[in-house]
Amino acid sequence: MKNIAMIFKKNILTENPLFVRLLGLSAALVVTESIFSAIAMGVAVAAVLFLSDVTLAALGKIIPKQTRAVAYILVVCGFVTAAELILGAYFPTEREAVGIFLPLIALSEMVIASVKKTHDGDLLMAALDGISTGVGYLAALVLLALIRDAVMCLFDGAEAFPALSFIIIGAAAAGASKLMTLADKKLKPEGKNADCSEGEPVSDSTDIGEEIK
Amino acid sequence: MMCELIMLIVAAVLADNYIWHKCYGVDGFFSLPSGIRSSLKLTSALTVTVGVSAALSYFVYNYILAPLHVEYLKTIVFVSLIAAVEWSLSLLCDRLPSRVFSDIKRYIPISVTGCAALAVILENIESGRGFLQSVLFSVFTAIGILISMIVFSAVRERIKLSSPPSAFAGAPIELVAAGLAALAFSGFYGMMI
Repeated sequence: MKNIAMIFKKNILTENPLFVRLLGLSAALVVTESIFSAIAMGVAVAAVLFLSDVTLAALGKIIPKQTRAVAYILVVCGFVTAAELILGAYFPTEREAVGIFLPLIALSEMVIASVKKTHDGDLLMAALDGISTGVGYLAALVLLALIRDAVMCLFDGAEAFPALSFIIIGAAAAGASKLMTLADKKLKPEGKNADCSEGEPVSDSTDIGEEIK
Repeated sequence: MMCELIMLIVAAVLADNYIWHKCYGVDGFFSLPSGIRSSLKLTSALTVTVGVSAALSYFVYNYILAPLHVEYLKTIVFVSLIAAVEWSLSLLCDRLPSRVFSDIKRYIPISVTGCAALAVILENIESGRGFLQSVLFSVFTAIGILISMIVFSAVRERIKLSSPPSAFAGAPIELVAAGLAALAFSGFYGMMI
């Protein structure tokens, strides 16, 4: 039980896919123009992540090593297509707003990094990891849409160029790293506080680069 | 016709830039290495991958998917197509003797390339472009990404020398700088209207 809470805490707060790991940035910049399209995108990503993680973990031992990439493409794209069709059928306005960003999920680093972890075939862990990452991304998108709406209300008539989202995400990432430093300070004994005040921010984009290689 | 093509090129490179305006290639953009040399290598991989997949996708969509009325399979088919193109280009780079090609090979299977290729293909289909327009648009989109990478690598160099507040150090200040760059690029959007 404690383990489950730890995974959720890690993927939603300390390693939030958007604000800390900077994954799924492209959709977050444009889709957050309205809160409904942000929710539609977040729910679609969470569903695709959860379902593809569970499916690939269940099939993990059956799929030969050589054909893993092909299986990944088929499973993830299948779920993405299903999400596209369902969204188009029930929420056409949101489908229109989400546009090309929905199929782009299939190639985003967030999904690739999450699916890579499913190789050992642990079904429960894959399910938890998928749903927690998805919920983390959904929460981040909703928060971003709210902030963007508030800023737009403050500056009446401001154009919704992606520039605004870039700056808001940057500020949010800075806030996240500041909170992380403060939390670290609380956990560590008094004497070591001075050392971690200048600690490196968690949101360092270079580790994502290593992941790709 | 000629005027239309020029408009398409200006839109692909500047106004509808895939990093600053349409944001399709931003996923993974901030983890790319800076510097003009690596930007050139990356975009050469990107240009070839995007160009070849856009050209192939035109035939796949118009002669296979559309006549069979299975347009809804486009995501699966195009992602597989892009993966196949990336894989073949990596094999080709292995066979070619120069060391430059092995450097370029490293940049083929990254997120920016895949996302840009898929976005270009889907956009070509949505706006009903012909073969020549599709290929031109995809190649010049890649050039647009090259321009943004060069612009942003200069910004990064400048950021390295500055000392932002500790919370902003690293990626956050780069995002804020990217916001300002996006604001500057949005000026080109007015050119098209």
